[in-house]
Amino acid sequence: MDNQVPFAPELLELARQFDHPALAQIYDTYSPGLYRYAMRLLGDQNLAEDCVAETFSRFLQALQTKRGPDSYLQAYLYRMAHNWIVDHYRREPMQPVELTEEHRDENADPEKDAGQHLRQERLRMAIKKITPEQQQVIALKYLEGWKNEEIARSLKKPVGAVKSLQHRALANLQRILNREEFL
Amino acid sequence: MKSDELDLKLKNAFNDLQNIPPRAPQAAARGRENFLKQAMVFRQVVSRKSDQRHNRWNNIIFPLFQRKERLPVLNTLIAVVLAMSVFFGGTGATVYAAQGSLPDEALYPVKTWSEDAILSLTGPAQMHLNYVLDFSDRRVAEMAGLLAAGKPIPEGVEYRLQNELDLVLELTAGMDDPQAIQQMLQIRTRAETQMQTMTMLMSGAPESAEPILLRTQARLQEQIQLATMGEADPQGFRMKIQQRFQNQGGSGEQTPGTGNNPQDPGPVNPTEMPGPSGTGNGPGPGGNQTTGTPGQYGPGSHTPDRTPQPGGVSGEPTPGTGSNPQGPGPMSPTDILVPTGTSDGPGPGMNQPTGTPGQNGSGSQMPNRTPQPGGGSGHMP
Repeated sequence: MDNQVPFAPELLELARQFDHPALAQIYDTYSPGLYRYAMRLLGDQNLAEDCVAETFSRFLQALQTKRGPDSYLQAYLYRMAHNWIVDHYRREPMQPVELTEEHRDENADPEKDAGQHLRQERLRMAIKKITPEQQQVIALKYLEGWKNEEIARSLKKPVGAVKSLQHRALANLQRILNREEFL
Repeated sequence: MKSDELDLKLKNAFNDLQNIPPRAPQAAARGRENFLKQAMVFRQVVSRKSDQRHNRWNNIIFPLFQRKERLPVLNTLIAVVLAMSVFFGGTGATVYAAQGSLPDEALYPVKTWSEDAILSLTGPAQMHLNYVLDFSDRRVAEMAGLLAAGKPIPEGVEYRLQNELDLVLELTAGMDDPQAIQQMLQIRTRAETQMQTMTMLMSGAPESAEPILLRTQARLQEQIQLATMGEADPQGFRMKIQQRFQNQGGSGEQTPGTGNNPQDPGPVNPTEMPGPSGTGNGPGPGGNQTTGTPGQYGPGSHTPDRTPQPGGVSGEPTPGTGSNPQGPGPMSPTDILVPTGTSDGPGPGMNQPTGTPGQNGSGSQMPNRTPQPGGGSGHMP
């Protein structure tokens, strides 16, 4: 599966000139994926929106100071988003989410939902405990479905290094989850 | 375990994380809007491209100080240059500092003055067009900046933007077909971008700002339509522009007799000062024309000096040089207004504070096309 969104280099060139339609197109193309990515790792809609907003804000700042991406805009944006997520992990430890009336859904299966929610939170906690690069590999590979070559571009590492990171990340993740009797 | 062969339980755990609630549309729209607003602010302050920066002095000045031998004449010259730099440097810094100012700030008149000064310099129409397009972007950014700061938009900003949009059309009408068609695309793209910004601003604007934003939107829509038409039919575009300015000049439909708003940051072109009597708008016989073969719309220059000269009531078409003495010369804005060379100006009161509303030939939304006193009779075509 190729998850790279087709990208015209001319679009990035126009974005460097702060061309309004080009920037709007970039936002419309990449913000939904970035939101999903942040949401999967953070589990909070407000935080995910903050992540997307801050990622695009940093993108504009980078364009202004001529430090923007040379190419592979998608890889660049996901790297920025992941940096924000890692910073957030460091700033604020993950809080347990309490189920309130707001979460109530008449058609839902509360037992099933609660179980899934719990599993999601445990996996997020486990992912948080591995290194930032391992987190990014796991998230891009198994949550976003990227190919190793695409991940390598985002991490600015050779494909071999990505495979190695992936191997260590899975082993670490499995060890953490086994210790917590999740699996 | 091979890295690609994922443990089934781990795979199920990842699948759990795939299920996330959909993004709230309002939050997504708000995020997009904020991003584009931020981009507008960045666009305003972005520096010029490296090849447009004034950095050639690096290669000129530094080698002078690296010479081993002394050059007395050169030293004197350097001293004079340095003295002048110290004397005039303050002015330059002020002008530079004013470029990011908003209409409610003290340095804003300096900003508009510097824009007018740039437009008053002679140069190719293409250069003027690029400047005017950039200046119109500035006006839109100023509107965005003022609204973002919770401040009202002075009408002067709106008038100035409208004048710039008009000037863009006039300059393009004066170009030959291939060049005009090429510029139409640029004009349309810019207007579309500005239109998008206006739409975005409308969504969060206070009620008091809505009339100005709506008028600006309508004007931008017209700009898009005219540019689209010009891409397909440059000749028809010229006729349309000619007709448009004739109608604007004499109908008195828009803003009769208001003249420039006192808060107006100033005319687009410093040479276009309001005339004392407001009579006549036509250039008279052969305004801005010299000698040569008569062109379709007459010759003239591309300079943005659109001030009609006093003229008689019935002028004859005057031949001019144009860029091609054998063919239709490039049009100047005055040529567009008066293709036949007769002084059929729109009449008195154009942009005059004393103009009478509703009368033919009085009032216009074109505050910068004020005629000079002269023989214009106010004849309406």
